Amino acid sequence: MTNRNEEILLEVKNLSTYYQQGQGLLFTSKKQKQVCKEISFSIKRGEVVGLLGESGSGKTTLAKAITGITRNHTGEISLYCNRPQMIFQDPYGSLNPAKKVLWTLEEPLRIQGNSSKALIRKKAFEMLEQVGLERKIAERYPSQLSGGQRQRVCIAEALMLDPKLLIADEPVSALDVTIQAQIIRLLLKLHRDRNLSILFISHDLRVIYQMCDRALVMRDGQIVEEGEVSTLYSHPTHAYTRQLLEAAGISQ
Amino acid sequence: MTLLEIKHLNIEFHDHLIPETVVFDLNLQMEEGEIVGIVGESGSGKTMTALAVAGLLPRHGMKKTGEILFDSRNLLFCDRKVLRTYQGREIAMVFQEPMTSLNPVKKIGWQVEESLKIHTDLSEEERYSRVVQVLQDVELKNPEEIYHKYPHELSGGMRQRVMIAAAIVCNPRLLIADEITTALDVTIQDQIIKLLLKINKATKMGILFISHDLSLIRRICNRVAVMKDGYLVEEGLTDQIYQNPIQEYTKRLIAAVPKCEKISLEEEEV
Amino acid sequence: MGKLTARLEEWKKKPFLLRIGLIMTGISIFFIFVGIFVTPYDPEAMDASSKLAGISFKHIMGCDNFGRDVFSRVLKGSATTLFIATGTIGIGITGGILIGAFAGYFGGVLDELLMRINDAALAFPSVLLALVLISLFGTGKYQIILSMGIAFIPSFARIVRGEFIRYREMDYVQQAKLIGAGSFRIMFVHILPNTFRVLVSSILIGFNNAVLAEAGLSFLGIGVQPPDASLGRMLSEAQAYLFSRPGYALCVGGTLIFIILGFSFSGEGIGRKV
Repeated sequence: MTNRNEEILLEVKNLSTYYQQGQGLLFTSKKQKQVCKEISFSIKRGEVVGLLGESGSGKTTLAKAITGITRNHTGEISLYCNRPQMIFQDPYGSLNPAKKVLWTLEEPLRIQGNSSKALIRKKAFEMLEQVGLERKIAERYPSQLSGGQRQRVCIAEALMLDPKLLIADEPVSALDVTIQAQIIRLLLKLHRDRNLSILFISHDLRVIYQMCDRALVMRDGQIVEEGEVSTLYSHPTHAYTRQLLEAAGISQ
Repeated sequence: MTLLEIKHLNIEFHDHLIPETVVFDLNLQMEEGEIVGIVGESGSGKTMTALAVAGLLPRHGMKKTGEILFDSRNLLFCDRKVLRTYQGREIAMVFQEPMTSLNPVKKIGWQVEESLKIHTDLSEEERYSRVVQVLQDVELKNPEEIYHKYPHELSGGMRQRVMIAAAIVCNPRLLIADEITTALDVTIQDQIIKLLLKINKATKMGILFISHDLSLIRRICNRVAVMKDGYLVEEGLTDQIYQNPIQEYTKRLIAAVPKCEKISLEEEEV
Repeated sequence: MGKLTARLEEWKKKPFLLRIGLIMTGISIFFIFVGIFVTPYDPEAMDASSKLAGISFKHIMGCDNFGRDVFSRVLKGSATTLFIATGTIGIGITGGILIGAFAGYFGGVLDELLMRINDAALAFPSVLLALVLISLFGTGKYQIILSMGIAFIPSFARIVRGEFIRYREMDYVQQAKLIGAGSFRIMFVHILPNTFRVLVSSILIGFNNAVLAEAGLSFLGIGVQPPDASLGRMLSEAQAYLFSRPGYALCVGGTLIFIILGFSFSGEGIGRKV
């Protein structure tokens, strides 16, 4: 068991990402702004890693680089598993409003194109059940769902392709506290049942503590501190980590 | 002395076919200089209550009953002209989104000065010095410089400070803060909370602090009202409510606040 | 019974303008559809005895200078006008979606290129552009459809592009990329359905412009050729008798206004629902 858990799923080496300012056409020059600066870290199989940081620290950019949504970067991203899937912060923007839930859930497998229609449908309903939603939700449009239900649908969609690594970008920040707690429990359950690795991005130190084994603290595009959550919170070495803990009213 | 008294407040929307009640029979009292929190999840009616107190609810398309007593005058039904003498001068409000609550084409100084122009007869120099003073009060560095800047030149935290400055420039007796820290980073949140506490202490300004974040409410409020689906669920001293919540919903809400503890899944299934 | 009342409730919920618009459009389409199969008189049959006859029970819109029944010709003419407008919009929207989708979704150099051409085309009034194209293709029903259709592409392309730019950064589009959807699938399966509301509203407004443009071209004599009837052609004929028999022009013009208002109210109503 321990042996298997030592297996590395994702390794990031000296990753720098860039953001382009201006269109870079005939008369305007391309300006490159560096967002993430020389980041290195790794995620092992079955591990939940937290990524802490405030707005503008480059958390989302890092997530998008890892999943391959954006490609403007230097350095190495080595994946030792299938393509990681992502859950976004805003459950109102991450589901296509023109499509029913069932369609959205079936879409990943439909694109892959090597399963029969009946099989895809069966799996979609199974997934719906796994994320704790009723069957009748399948026939609804996103506008008919609550924020928590939408986020569950997003999780189900992300898991349709059985990813080994899930990247959750502030998945509970837009939700009410009671719903937050439910979604966190759901993610932890899925982590336990499927041995799913999760890169959990959040600005909320308490949520990170609840969810994660290990955490990375990010500031201005750099990882300033990294460690086991319990030691990181009790013995922060970097001044910024200490500042964050203090601002959140956590003192240990 | 009582600053604000809300009695049997009902707010009903009539802009759809089916009337929708967003606040049911709300009673709440606030003393002079007190910080009262209203906590609730989205759709609980907390913002509607705040808007009602600030006199910002639309005049048409809704039915309002009850009383909002301020200086023994019912703000809910008073004349627009009378209401205007309170708005900005006695009652001020700060909103959630610091990006949209400042006018992008006007300088900071102009925006903070605006309510002085409306409510006082101060001369131009007096107004200027008051604005600079208040910008300093909200702990903005180089207030003279900030005075001549545009909103887009400031960070989110600075803008929220400017909003607070604009709200307190006339020394109102009641400040309504509607989710003012929600859009900010934790470290900035912390600073804004400390700032509000300082202002409250220095000027005895009453603050109605509306938030979904219980840990913030706990840090700033003497008393708290818990709202759910338009109803006032529970109300009392903050510490008391935290230690001995009576209502089931309050218990659930407090339990849901993330704590620095690991979650064990065994106890119940998701 | 319950179903019917439910339908009625739903109908009542729609914006007032949309309801009026749909009723007017429904009436127009009903008459035009019936007119394809039956008209009170042969629209081309001339009757010297009733030249420029006034409004009567026999000829509810009177007769024209050749003694042809105006009502019958209005029915036929509206059908022609509507057919041309539909064809025009069909070409315009197809071209507009293709250009707009590519420009908006891919952005960059492709967008610049397509949009500069588009802007150049937009700089001409669409009727003027259609005139140029007609001089290339020649006159006739189908040539007009093609010319006007091409002239209408730029305005649709602009709208579609705007919508695609708005949606391409949405999280669900990023999500679609993550599950391996190709660009074409994202553009036409994931994004396009989201633009329908704006599209429908702009189609209805575009429809109006097409009806007016056809009428304008025919009025100038380069649209539908005789003996085919079209509303614009009839208006141009009625012009000569504007003072001697104003009923002729009024009936034709009134029909045109009725059809156009129906579409514009529907378009406005749908737009307002957002």
